[in-house]
Amino acid sequence: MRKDPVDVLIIGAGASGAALAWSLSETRMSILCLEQGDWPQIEKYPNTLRDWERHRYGGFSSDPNIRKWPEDYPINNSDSPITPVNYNGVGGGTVLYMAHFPRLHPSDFRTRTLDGVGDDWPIDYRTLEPFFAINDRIMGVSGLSGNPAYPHYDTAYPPVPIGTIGRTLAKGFNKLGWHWWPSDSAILTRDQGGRKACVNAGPCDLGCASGSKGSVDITYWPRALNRGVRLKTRCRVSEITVGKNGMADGVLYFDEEGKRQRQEASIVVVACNGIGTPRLLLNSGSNQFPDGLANRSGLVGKNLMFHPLTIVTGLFDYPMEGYKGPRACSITSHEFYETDKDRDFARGYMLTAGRGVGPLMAAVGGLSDDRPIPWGAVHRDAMDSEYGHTTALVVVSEDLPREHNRVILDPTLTDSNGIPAPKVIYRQGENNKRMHRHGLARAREAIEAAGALRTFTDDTIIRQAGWHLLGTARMGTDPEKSVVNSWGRSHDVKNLFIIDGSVFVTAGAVNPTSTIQAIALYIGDRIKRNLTKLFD
Amino acid sequence: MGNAQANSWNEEEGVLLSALLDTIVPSGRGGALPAAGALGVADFLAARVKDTAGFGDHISNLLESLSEVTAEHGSVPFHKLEGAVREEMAKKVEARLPEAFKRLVVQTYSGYYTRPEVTVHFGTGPNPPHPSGYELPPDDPEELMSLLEQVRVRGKRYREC
Repeated sequence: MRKDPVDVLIIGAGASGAALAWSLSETRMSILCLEQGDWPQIEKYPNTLRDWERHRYGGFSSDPNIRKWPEDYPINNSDSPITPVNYNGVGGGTVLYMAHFPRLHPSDFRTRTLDGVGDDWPIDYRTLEPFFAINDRIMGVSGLSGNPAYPHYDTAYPPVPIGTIGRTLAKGFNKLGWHWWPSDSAILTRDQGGRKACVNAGPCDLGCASGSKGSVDITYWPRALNRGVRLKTRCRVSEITVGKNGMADGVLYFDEEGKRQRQEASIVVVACNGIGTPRLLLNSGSNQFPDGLANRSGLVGKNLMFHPLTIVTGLFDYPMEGYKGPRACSITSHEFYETDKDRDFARGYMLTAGRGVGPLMAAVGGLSDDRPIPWGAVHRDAMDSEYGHTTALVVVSEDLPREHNRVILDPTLTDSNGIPAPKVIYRQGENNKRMHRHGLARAREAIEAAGALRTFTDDTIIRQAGWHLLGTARMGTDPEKSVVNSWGRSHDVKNLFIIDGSVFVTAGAVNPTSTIQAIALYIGDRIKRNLTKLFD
Repeated sequence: MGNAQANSWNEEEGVLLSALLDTIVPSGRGGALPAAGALGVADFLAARVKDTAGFGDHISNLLESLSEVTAEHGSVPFHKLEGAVREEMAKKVEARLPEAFKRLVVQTYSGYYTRPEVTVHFGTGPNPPHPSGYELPPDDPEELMSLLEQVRVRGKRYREC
């Protein structure tokens, strides 16, 4: 049972775990990462198969409850209008993400001070700026410098072509005098270091078989492993253990044969994101921590934030060729991102262009296959005259932290090792509902200004869009009101760090991976700078 | 009829199912796009019966219901009815068994829109997206800068803090 102790044990090989492993690998510390899943088998990504589209709704779904791989854990989503999605394996969510790679805005770190809602972070945009830059370089971020929605920063690669869809929507935004800009994308537009430039295949959410998309299995991990970090796959951590001194002393895990093992460590780092991290902490209760590890604040699992999404689609009288190019990366508008006191809601949202979809996705109704378009004679009209002539604007809205929205342990549901599974309890807030009404109207206005023949609006938030899992172990200066400090260290357990999306204090209204990784690199930097007084 | 289908339905059921699939996705574009039954989507469904719990029962129930509503309508078998009448019969079945019918529709679309004979007509071509991808010309830098000019001129859109 006993394993050689390591200096640093990282749980989870996704976006944040990989970044931290690389960051710490320049030290002399022994570093081990345990990952419950396996290395992605790039040659088996479904977008190399003729029937690639249907795998999105089955064995390669982003929803673990549908995918049901041995390494997946079930998530009880019966009390939430949004279902969390993920990928359990080396690379984590970056294997299936769309690689739209914006940063949080400076104001996202000061929502209480600026707008009287949410809470201020103990760090700010300027603190993270150098780590955004490092991360952009390693992930391979393309874009166009000079976006007036942000303080200036340089991008390494030219933007992904905005395409017919981007040009069309840009003209609409310009007519209205609204902000827009080519998307920042973690997608190479030039060959780099053995990775190929994007071939504009489209379905980034089914894995990138050409290696153009910056997923951490091909960005951070090769670098970290090359510098001596060890990564063990098929190892599912069930519990973080604590010694009599109140410090974490290691973990218990199930190895690939299902045998219970122990790994000792001087520092334990949790990198399982907004659902997996609170699940593990809540599963690590003990006499010293009866309500779950690092949970003296009672906030582990609480303040769960998604980015509720809705879509407005426009039909145009010319082909959009939307299947060409990364599906979520074209242009984006931050016109309504910042608070405007004349509106009936605080904070704001992003409008982002969605390129078209493949014919099957169009026919079955989108991300989930439970809303097929009409069958029969009208089906032919819809597919033959409308397919390929549409474009969409996605309303990506800021979700404010509310303690009601939370992750708990399900009383009966377990994974294949018998470890209690998480349950998500979530309601869309009133502020967010008002924001969505505004966003849908503005998206429709933009698409009409772009020349659409007609628009289609779905008023409901998209269930299958729980990609962004934030806030369930928030950072802060007050141990009564937060789980970790400004550099990810648990207030309660001084050698326990949390480095993933769960430390977010507010959600912003952009895809979070860029900021998650910048935070992980920042925490790595703080650990390195404070090695001699790490546990003070 | 393929082997997979042969293992799932008898000949009469196979004819009925194929006609129902033709009704769900009729032929189009002047015949360039075959109907779902004619394309052999029933074989795809037979494979799904083997790997999807309960789907076989759904199809059996739908076919039984379709035979009933067709018999109520008259003596002409479903597959010999004119297209609009077939659709009317199928809608009656959908009203009786909405969930099962929706599952059949989704699986029919899945079988149909993943066939290269079909995808070639929808831009994505007969091959999977990788490794070749698609030709997407780079943006004309001058056009892009011109489009962005007014955004630049308008200036900062974030708050200092």
